[in-house]
Amino acid sequence: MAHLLVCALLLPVPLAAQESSTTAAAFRRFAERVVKVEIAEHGAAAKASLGSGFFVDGEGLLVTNYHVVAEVVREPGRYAPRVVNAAGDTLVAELLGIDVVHDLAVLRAGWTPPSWFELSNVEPDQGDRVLSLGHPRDLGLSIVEGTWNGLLRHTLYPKIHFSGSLNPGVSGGPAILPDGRVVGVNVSTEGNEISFLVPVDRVIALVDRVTAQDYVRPDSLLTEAASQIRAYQDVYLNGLFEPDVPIVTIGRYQVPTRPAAWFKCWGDASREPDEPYERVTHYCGTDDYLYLSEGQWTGVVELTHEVLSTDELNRFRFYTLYETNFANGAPATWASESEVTEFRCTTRNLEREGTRLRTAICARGFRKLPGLYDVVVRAAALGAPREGLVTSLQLSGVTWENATRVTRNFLERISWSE
Amino acid sequence: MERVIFVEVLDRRHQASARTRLSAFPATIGRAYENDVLLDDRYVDPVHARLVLRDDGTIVLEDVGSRNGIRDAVTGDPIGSAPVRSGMVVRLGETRLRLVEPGHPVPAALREPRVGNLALALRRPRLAWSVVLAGLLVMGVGGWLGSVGAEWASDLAVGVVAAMLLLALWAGAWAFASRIFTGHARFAAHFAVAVGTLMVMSVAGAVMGFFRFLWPGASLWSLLGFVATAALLTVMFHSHLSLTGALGARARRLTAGAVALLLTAVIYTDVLDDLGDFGGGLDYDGNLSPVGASVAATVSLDELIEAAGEVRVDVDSLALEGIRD
Repeated sequence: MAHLLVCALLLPVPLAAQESSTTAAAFRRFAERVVKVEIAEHGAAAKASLGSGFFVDGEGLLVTNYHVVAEVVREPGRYAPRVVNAAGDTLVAELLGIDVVHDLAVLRAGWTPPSWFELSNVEPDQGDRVLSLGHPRDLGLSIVEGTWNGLLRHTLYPKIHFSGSLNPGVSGGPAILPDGRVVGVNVSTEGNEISFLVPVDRVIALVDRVTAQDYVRPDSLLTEAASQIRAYQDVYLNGLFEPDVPIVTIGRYQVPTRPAAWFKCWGDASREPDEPYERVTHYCGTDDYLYLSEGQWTGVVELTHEVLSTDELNRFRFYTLYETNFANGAPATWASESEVTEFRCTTRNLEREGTRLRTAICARGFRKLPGLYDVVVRAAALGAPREGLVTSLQLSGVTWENATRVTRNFLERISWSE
Repeated sequence: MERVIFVEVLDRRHQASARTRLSAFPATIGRAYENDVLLDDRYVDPVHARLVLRDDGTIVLEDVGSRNGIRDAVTGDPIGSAPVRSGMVVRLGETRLRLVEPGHPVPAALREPRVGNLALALRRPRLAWSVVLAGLLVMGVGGWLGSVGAEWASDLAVGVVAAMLLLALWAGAWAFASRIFTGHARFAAHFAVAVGTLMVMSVAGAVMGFFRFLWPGASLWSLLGFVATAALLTVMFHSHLSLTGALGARARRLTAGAVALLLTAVIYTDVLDDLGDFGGGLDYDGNLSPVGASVAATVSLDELIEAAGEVRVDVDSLALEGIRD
C-alpha cells in the first residue's frame, strides 16, 4: 500500500490538470461567473443589503439565497434586486422564483454572461476540497478553501456540512469542486469553520421549476413563501406524536420523546447541593430555523419535559416552586412586532383517563403570512403533592390545523400513575 | 346685671389651652401671681394689662404701661386701650388671648365617628400595632410558603424588612399630612392601614389564585379582581384621608373612590402595556394548587382544542388590526 502511494505521488501530472486544481487557477477561471447581489430601495442609490450569486445559464439566470432577497419578497413595492458582475457593471435583475424552505432564490439579469456553472448532481467524498466564492462584507470577490463533510443527518432542512469559513456577504455564492462543478450554495455558519451549504440537488430542482415552459411567476412571492412553508410542514409534521412515538419515563411520568429522526434530544438531572428539590429535564428540538426576515426566524419544533420532586419541602412550598416553573413559559422563537401579533392564551384543566393536566395553549399570528401561527402548549400534571411534571411543546410557523393535530397527539401521549 | 367675660389662652393651633371666667372688674392680666389671668410668658410684664368695666356696660382692655404692649394678633398693630368685641384676639408677648362674651356663638357639634369606621378605630395604638403584627405574621407565613431556595430564611427576612420599610415610608408621608391638618401624626394608625391593605390584598390574591385554579378560563375572575382591588384601595385611601382630617366626609369618599378606581384601572387594563414596548411574552393562568385538584373544573381534550379556537380568533383579529404607531 505504501509502495503504491509513493508511486502515485511520483507519477508525472499533466500541467493543465495541475493548473486547474490550484485555488488560484479556480479563482481565475470562475470569478466571472459570480456576482454581487444588492438589494436597494427604489430611488435610493445606496444598497440596503448585500449577498452573492452565480450564473447558471447563458441568459443571465442567477441563483442566490432566499434570505438575500427576502426584503424584495416581503416588500416588492419598496425594494428591488440588482446585480454587479465581475466587470463591475450594475445590472437590473428580476426575482423569478423562491424556495423559502431551502433558502434559495432565482433571479434573471438582463445580461449574457461569458460563462456560467452547469448544474449537475455531484456526490463528493467526505474530505474532498471545496472552494467557496462570494463577496464577504463587500470586500470584493474572495475564494475560501474548505472541506466537504457530507449531508447533515437528521436535519429538518437538508444542509451540507462545509468545514470552511463563511462570512456575511458570501451567502448565495457557489461552493464548487476545483474543477468547477457546483456542490452547493453558501448559506450559513456557526463560526469556527463550521458552515453550511444548500445541496445542489435543491438548486437544480428550483432552477428546473422556474425554467419550465409552464412556469408562471406568482403575483405575490410572499403568498408563495407561505404556501411553501405549509406544504413542507404538512410533510414533516405528519405523524408527529402518533402512538408509535418513543416514550421516556421520568419519575412517575411517561412522556413522548424524539418524535422524529430530525429531533436532537438532551437530558439532564440536577440537584444543587443546598436546594431542597430535584429537577430532571428532557429536551428535544429540531435546532433548525427557517429565515423569513431580519425580524423573524421560524420553523422550529421544541419539546421540553421537566420533572420536579422533593422529600424536604411540604406540599405548599413545593407547589410554589412548581407553580413558578409552570408559569414561567417563554416562546422558543423571537419575532418583531412588524411580523407577529402578541400571544393570546387559554388555560384549562384537562382530564384524560383519570389524570388531570393543567394546560395552557398560547398562540400568535403571522402578520405578513396569514394562516401561520406560533403555538406554545404548556402543561403541568396535577395530583401528586411533592412531584410534578411541567411539559412544553413549541411549534413555530404552523397552520392551525397542524398545530391542533400535533397538540392533541402530544397531550394524548402523556400519562402517569396516580 | 353681672357682666362676664372669658379670657382664653390660645395654643399654636388656635385651640383654647386655658380659659378664665371673669366677673369682677377691673381684672388684671400678667405674669405675677396676684393677677386674675396668669400668663407664663417671659415677654409679659408682671402686670401687663387690665379689663375695666365702664359705666355704659362695655368692657375695655387697657395696657398698663407694659414693656412690650398689647398687639392685634392679626395685624400686629399696638393697642393702648380698646373696647372688647367678643372673639377678638390679641397678643401679649408671645401669648395670644381670645376674649369671648358668654353669648358668643359656637358651631354645631360634629357628628361622632360611626362605629365601624376602621381608620378612627385604628387611632387606638394597641389596635393599630396589633394589625401591623398580624400583617407581619401573614407576610412571614406567605413568604415561608413562597420561598424554596437554599437561602430561603435570609431571603424571607430581607423581603419582610424591605416591605415593612416601604410601608413605613408610605405611612410616614400620610402621618406628615396628618400632623399638618390635625396636629397628630397618627403614624401607627397609618402604618396599620398600609400593612392591613397589603395583608388583605395578599390573602385575597391567594384565594383568587385558588379560584382561578379551580375554574380556569372564566372571565368572571378578572371582573371580580377589578372590583375587589378597587374596593380595597378605596377603603385604604379613605382611611388615610380620614386620619389626616383633610376634606369633608363627602369629598373624602369621592376622592378615595376616584383615586382607587384610577389606580385599579391602570393596574388591570392594558394601559401600561399599550404604552410599553411590544411584549412578545406568554400571559396565561399559571396557577397551581396542592389541594383541590380533584374538585377542579375539567375539560376533555376536544373541549380544550375548542377553547384554543377562541385564541385563534383573537390573534387573527389582532393581525388584522395592524400595528400601533
